Amino acid sequence: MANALAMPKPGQFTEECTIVKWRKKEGDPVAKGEILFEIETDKSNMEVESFFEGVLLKIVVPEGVPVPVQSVVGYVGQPGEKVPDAPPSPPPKPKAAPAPETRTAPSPTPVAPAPARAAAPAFPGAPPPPAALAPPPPPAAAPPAPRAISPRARRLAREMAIDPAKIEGSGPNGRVVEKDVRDYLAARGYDRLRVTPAALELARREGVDILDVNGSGAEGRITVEDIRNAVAERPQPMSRMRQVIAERLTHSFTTTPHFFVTVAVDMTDLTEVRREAKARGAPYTVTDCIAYAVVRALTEFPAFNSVSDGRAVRRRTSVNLGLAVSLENGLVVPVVRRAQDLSFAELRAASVALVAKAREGKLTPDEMTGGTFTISNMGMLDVENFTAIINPGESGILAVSSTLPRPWVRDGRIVVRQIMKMTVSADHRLIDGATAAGFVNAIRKRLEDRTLWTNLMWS
Amino acid sequence: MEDHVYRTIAELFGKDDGYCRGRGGSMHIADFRIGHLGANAIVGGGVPIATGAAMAQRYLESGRVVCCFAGDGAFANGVVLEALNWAAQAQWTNHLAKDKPFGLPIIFAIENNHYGMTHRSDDEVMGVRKLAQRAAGFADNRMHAEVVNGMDVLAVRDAVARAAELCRQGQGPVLLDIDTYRYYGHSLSDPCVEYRTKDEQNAWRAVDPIASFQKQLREAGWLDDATAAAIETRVRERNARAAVRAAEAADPAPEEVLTFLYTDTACETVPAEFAKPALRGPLPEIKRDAEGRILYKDAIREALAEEMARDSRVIFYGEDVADYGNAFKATKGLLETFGRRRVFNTPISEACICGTAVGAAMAGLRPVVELMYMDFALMSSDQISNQAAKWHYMSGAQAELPLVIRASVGGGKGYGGQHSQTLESVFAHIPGLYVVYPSTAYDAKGLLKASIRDNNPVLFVESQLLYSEKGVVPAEDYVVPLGAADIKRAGGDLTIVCWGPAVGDALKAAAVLKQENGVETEVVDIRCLVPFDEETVLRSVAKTGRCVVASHAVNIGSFTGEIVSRIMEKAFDELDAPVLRVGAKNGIAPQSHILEAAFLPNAKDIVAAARRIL
Ligand SMILES: Cc1ncc(C[n+]2csc(CCOP(=O)(O)OP(=O)(O)O)c2C)c(N)n1
Repeated sequence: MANALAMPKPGQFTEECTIVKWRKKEGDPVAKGEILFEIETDKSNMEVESFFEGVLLKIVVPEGVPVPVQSVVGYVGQPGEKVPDAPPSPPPKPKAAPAPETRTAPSPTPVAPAPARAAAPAFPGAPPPPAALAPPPPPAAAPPAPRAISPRARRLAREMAIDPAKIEGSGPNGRVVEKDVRDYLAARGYDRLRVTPAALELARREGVDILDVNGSGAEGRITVEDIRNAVAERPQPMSRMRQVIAERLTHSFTTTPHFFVTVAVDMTDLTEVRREAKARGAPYTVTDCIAYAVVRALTEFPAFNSVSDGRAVRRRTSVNLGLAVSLENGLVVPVVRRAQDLSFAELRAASVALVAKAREGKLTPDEMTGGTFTISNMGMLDVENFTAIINPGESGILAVSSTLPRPWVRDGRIVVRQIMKMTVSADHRLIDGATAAGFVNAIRKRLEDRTLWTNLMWS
Repeated sequence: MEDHVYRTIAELFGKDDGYCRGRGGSMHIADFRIGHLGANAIVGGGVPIATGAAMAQRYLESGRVVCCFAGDGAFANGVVLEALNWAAQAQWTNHLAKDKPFGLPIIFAIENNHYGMTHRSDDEVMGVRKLAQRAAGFADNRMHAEVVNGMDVLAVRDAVARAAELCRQGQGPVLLDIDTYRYYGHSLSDPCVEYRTKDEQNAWRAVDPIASFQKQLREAGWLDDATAAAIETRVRERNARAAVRAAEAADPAPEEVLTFLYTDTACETVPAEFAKPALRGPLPEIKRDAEGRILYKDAIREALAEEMARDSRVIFYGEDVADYGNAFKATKGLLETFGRRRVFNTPISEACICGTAVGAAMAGLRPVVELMYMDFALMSSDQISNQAAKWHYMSGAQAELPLVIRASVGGGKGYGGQHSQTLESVFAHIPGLYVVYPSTAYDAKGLLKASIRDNNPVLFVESQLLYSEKGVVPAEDYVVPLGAADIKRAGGDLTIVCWGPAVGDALKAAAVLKQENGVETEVVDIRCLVPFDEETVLRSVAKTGRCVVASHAVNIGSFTGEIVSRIMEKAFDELDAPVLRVGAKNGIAPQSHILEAAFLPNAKDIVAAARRIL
């Protein structure tokens, strides 16, 4: 019997997954450990190796089709071996965690079973929120039904180079008919539009809505140039990664009451100590120091290592530090787990490894989930100050800006010092101003503590 | 002779030089130049055609005789027995024939090889030992039937000479039951083992007609060995040459696959010998009302009368059409004007009514025949579909078939399942036929006249529901061209494509839609299903963007579906709404008026369909 290949479960909460690329064709020989295909997870692509030796007998799931994890995606076996006609159905799902809603605070009225979508974490990749803390499911907005349009109306719209989707239909079942298009053209003053014939032709071909184009020619005439510009300005679909970022950050920023506290840190001493240490071969960077200072502060301010849904607060006993890493096409946040238990050197080693993996796109889903607090460092980008959006499932994020020489009052005199601003974003539902102020100042104090860094770097 | 052999073999090879230009092949080979009206692959199907050809010889007084070959197996087929009955009608020779009594000049030559495909005729599937006996059942003179020794060339020659002479004297028909044998199987795959013995075959070979004839010639001192050998060599070499040439001949061009399906000729001017024949009386009088209106059925009568007066080749026959003037009095008076040579009753024999028309048309007449009800067309569907529709094409355009089959639809009158069917779609599915269906008296006259003049076979459908509808019909000669739709009402909002009685429904619906919805409806009467005026339909749909297709046929398989599909294919982007159709329910016409009203479509149904897409 041929060996069935199952869709892996890349993350604890991933229920569905898509093959983005088959690296082998049907009939190709496959060695144990060879890459068979790549799957797309919410955060990155992952390569999947073969556990079997033989030939790829059949591809059951083609590229681009999302299927439940554990589904059979193909078969590897000996050449000529028979493959079942219909792939066996995926094994029964492990008993699903009860839908969050059903465990929400006792409610006298029975709660309708949550829609399937809501059972999955709202933010794939977010640390598994305790059931009671699950964010409310996003509104299950059904995609708008494509508007029915008669062929005649569609042809007229095409001829006129307008977008029929904007037209209300008056035909049976709301179908857009020719008259609707004509009424719309009249209402939009289409007659008065001045368009060069070439521009109209191009607009038709490119599907540009001519009514959306402002003419730059004489007396407002729409020219080919205007259509080209309209084509260039046309919305382009975002990558899957960007869409996930968009979804998660929008949700966070619109449902978490953010507030921001900024402090200026005098980094002069730290910079000096580090420069000397470096000259002696110590590898540490300022970023390492900030990470260390933040981990320590988090152990002192547990509110920043907790999460709230507005009704309850859940503390996390371990500090899982997220490090925002910008990539060419987006942003990933690898997570250093149990950072509170790591020495300065260990913390650095762990972060360096993760950041390198992130840059190569090799992070596993588990390495990108479970963070409790995040640092976003734009120090190398020459910025005075900025604020960051809290990652879902966390309560704070530290935005670290560039260290810049600044006039500074010290002992009553103005001197030049290396000043770095950092701003913490906090979830006001569980953190108040005083706590936030205490938290950033705790970090600041550590960073300004020359002795501390001397000890850490010289030990 | 060599040319015949060459053209025959070329036809077997499907070559352009074949008799039928590769459209016929061995089963439909024909050479109309010499009066060979075609082999027929429908066993027995050629017999009524030959009978019709004999009618033409009789009518034209050509002095020629038709010889109709068919096998013993064919003489079990209904259409063959009908043809024997037809050929032996008393009216050819008795007082009804007035001054020209003349039996049909036809020899029914049974090539009795005693087997059908494999069945034995004599002692298996027939109840008579000698098929010649059949003749006794059809004619008091037993058709001068003879049993002939088909293995003796001279005996056959004598018998046929006798028969031809009888026919020339007006003593036909004659039936010759010619005993012979088939040495090989019916087809290459038949080794003849199951159903006959080697002994039997050898016994027949022993009396082989070629060998016997040679023996007779030698005995008479007319043939010696050297001459016989020389003849044999000459024939062999000739056949071989012809076969090689045929094999090397050009194939027909693939793009010509539909060439010869129809002829584009019509009888524009009548040859002098047939023009304006003497009449027995005045044309039947048809009264016009003050506005010049006459009944639809009278328009039919007027068209027939005018065309018969124009061209003596136009003859008209059917069941009860002569003295009685047909079941609907639509042909009353024609007998009086044209006499029984040109207008006569027929046996209740629909296959022969249509089949003899095919033969008569092949032989130079322009027959118009009548099927009392369209339902009966199914009785003659072989003659309409396999013969009339196909011979122009299958013969490679050697033959034209200028014939009209009139058939009336009884639907709407409570006649029930076998007298009410609207079947034109069935025949529109048979390429080679024209299918015409007028909706008004004006169109009925003009279209029937055009159909009679056209050189294609036309199935001309009439609706009994419309027979008593009146319309303005000019008394003058005019034709309505075939294949031209007519806009019965112009409008810009909605198109109704229809024909036959559905046109009236559509016009009523249009009035309602105008009054109640302010909608301007265009009613396109296609008038002909074949040829179909696609252009007019598409142009109207392009104007209105909305279309309902209506007819009285049941929807399933109806030509309405064909029209809808063409609109979808060719005018999709013109459509502002789906094209809907209206027809009878997919069922059988019931007798009850209440039920039939529910079964048939009406103006209300068209209005309802229109409102669904407005
Ligand atoms: C109407 C019809 N039925 C059946 C056939 C199939 N068929 C072809 S030839 C044949 C036997 C004909 O026998 P007969 O009339 O004795 O002619 P023969 O071939 O013996 O000369 C049959 C059954 C056919 N071609 N047409």
